[in-house]
Amino acid sequence: MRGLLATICFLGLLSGRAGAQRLEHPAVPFLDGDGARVVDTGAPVSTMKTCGACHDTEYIATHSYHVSLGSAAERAARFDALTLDAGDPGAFPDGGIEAWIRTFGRRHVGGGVAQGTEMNCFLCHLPAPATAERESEIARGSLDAVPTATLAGTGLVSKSESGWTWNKEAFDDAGAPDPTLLALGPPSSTNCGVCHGAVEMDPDAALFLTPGPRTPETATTGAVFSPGRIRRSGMNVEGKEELSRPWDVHAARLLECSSCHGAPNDPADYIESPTTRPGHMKAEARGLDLAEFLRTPNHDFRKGRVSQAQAGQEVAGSMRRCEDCHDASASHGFLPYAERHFERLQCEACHIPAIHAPLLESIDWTVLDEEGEPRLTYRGVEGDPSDPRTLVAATVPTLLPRTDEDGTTRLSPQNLVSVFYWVDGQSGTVVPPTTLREVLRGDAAPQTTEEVRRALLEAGVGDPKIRGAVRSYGIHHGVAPASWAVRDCSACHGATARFSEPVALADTLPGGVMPEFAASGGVALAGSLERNQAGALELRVDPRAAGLSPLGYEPDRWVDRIGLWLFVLTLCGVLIHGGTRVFLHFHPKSKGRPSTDGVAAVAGEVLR
Amino acid sequence: MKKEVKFYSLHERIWHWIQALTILVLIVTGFEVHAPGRIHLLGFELAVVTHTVFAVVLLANAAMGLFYFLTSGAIRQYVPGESGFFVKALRQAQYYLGGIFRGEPHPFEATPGNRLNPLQKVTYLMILNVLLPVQVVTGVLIWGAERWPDLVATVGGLALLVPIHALASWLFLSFIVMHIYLTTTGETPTANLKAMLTGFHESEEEAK
Repeated sequence: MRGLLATICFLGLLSGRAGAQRLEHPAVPFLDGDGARVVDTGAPVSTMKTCGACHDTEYIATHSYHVSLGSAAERAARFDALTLDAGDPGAFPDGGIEAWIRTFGRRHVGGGVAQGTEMNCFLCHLPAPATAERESEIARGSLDAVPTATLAGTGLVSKSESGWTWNKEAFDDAGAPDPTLLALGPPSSTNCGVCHGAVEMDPDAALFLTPGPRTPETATTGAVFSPGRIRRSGMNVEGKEELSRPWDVHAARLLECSSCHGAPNDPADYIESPTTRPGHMKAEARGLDLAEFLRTPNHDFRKGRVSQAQAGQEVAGSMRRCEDCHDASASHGFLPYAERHFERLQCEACHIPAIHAPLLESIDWTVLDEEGEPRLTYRGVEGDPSDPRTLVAATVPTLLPRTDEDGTTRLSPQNLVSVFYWVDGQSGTVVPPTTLREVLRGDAAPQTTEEVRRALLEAGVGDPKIRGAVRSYGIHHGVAPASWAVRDCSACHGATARFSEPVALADTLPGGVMPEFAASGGVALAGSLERNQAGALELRVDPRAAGLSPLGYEPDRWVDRIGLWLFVLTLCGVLIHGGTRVFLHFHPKSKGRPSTDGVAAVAGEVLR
Repeated sequence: MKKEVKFYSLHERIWHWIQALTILVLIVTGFEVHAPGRIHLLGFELAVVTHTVFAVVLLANAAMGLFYFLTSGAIRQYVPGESGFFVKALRQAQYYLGGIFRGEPHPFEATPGNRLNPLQKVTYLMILNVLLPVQVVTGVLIWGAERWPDLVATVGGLALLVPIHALASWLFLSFIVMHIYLTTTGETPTANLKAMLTGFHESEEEAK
């Protein structure tokens, strides 16, 4: 049995790695929560029982930061500016955990604190999970039906007024569904995209982005994982006819999200994190065999350390990095001071030259629109970003110093988003969106800040206050092919360097509140937050604040002022001295005399 | 009657003009590297390469010059210390501030064996022993920041080295302005320039 499982798993791994068609997962009887066949009981499928027949689902569920979302430890650091899901460990506002799941469960894989639902294996292991049906059940609070609803569209189950009904013709005598209908397999990038951001693996698709909370990674960092050329986009991207590059070169090279964010105990792809590897070890020769791995695949996937993702901090920085696959020294011969550039710049700083998707600039939760959503503004976009006619200009990421796990500080591309929201001044907790929607919607919705404050007071919020924060979102996706990377030295070296332009953060400051920089992910604010003459909030980047002094970039250098004064004084002295000599030389009383005598004579008269 | 006296050997003149050319190029390219957004001559990349190449030329030329001045004994001309040096320097300063306007003769008569007046000696002492070494050391460290990062960090890093190098460049530029101007204070405005081109200087004393 173990050998057979290993063989099957091996083939499965191969299929997943190659990005080719999936090989068939063995037929698995679908069991309900009591371990009975669902075709007999008609009950919702239990992933823990069904998948647990071969896989150690308990191990998987307890080794998955996707499952542990919502735990006290995770919530302590949580602040999702897009959904205003803010940290309050152990206490979920406005209806507790059930309301939290109904509101935010769309991005929760199940299990963990999401009691009443199991870790939904189908969400990531089906080629086309029924996300709409799944979300519908989550919103309704029918959590036990969520995995079953995710199977809608496979032909195994259908929705009726009484609930979900198993299509018995699709199951064999053992209660196992037709494997070709189920088509289980390794997770694809598309699966990741369901919750994280825009993924389009069809290179010919006319990609159109609808930015917002449903694609948080795309909205906040501009990440679009697609092999498609930007010029074939369905969006009105500025200069798109020239943008022959793919949205993401790694997608174009047939990589999947799991290529870098795979299971840490995958024996075929094992990289021990530098944070846990003994310093003298280059590699770990030991590893699980395939069968053991497939029984207990660790779902604490390798991940980076970015400010926007607080889950799985214990494995932050464990993912593949650029240098794990690329030898930069072999391809940067053209670059002067190559090693120094590598020490001071993350690869992404040059290899993500621009973002061609709408990129969030500010989120204002202090007022809501008619649909109860916050006011969002996007960089590079004037108008409605969901309108195909709206022009989307390129945004050059802001470079800010980020300190890695090894203590190295390098400039990394970031998108800064300012967010304004109401807090309970007495408890310090964030006023949740449900409360805001109750108070701020409708015909009689308060308009001014003071009116909103009074309305929140009446709604039970103690001492409502506006709080502002500037949050950084690390940009690590959307890598361009090498030929598109920044090669222009003046991009960083010169008065017109990318640091020299102020970074727009917000058109207005709600309530006049000056936001503070929310430091996280090792990112530091090298510069100062200022209001310009129009009252808009800007960041004035100063790399010197991080101890970085790019040659050619020092817009306000005292050295030049001193030097220039010195030079001007010298020049003035020379001109005055020389001018006096010339004047005396050409004075009428010196005409016709030898030069020195003439000068002497005239000087004598003048000085007398 | 005036007589032409050999003041500068061919070696000295070649050394001087190579030094002048390299310093000029270094200042121009240095400013482009320093402020590429304001100065567009070669482009940043070419300016960096040119600056590095000419820095090597300057170093090599300085080393050869030092060798020449040491072995020929001409180095003595640059060393102040004769008796009454301070008084002579004061007299030279008074000349530049007043006597030159009144057509007074130079208080210091240059000869092939003693070409520099006291103020020149002090100036060149500072240029050759302070400014040039500072510029060379900081320049080499900036260039070598990639190769010896620990060493560079030990001496303050680029954040300190770059401003010092830039300030020294401004001082060099100011010196050049002053230097060129003072060449016009000879017997005629172009006498000193001619001497550095031809090697010969007209001397009253020699004609006597």
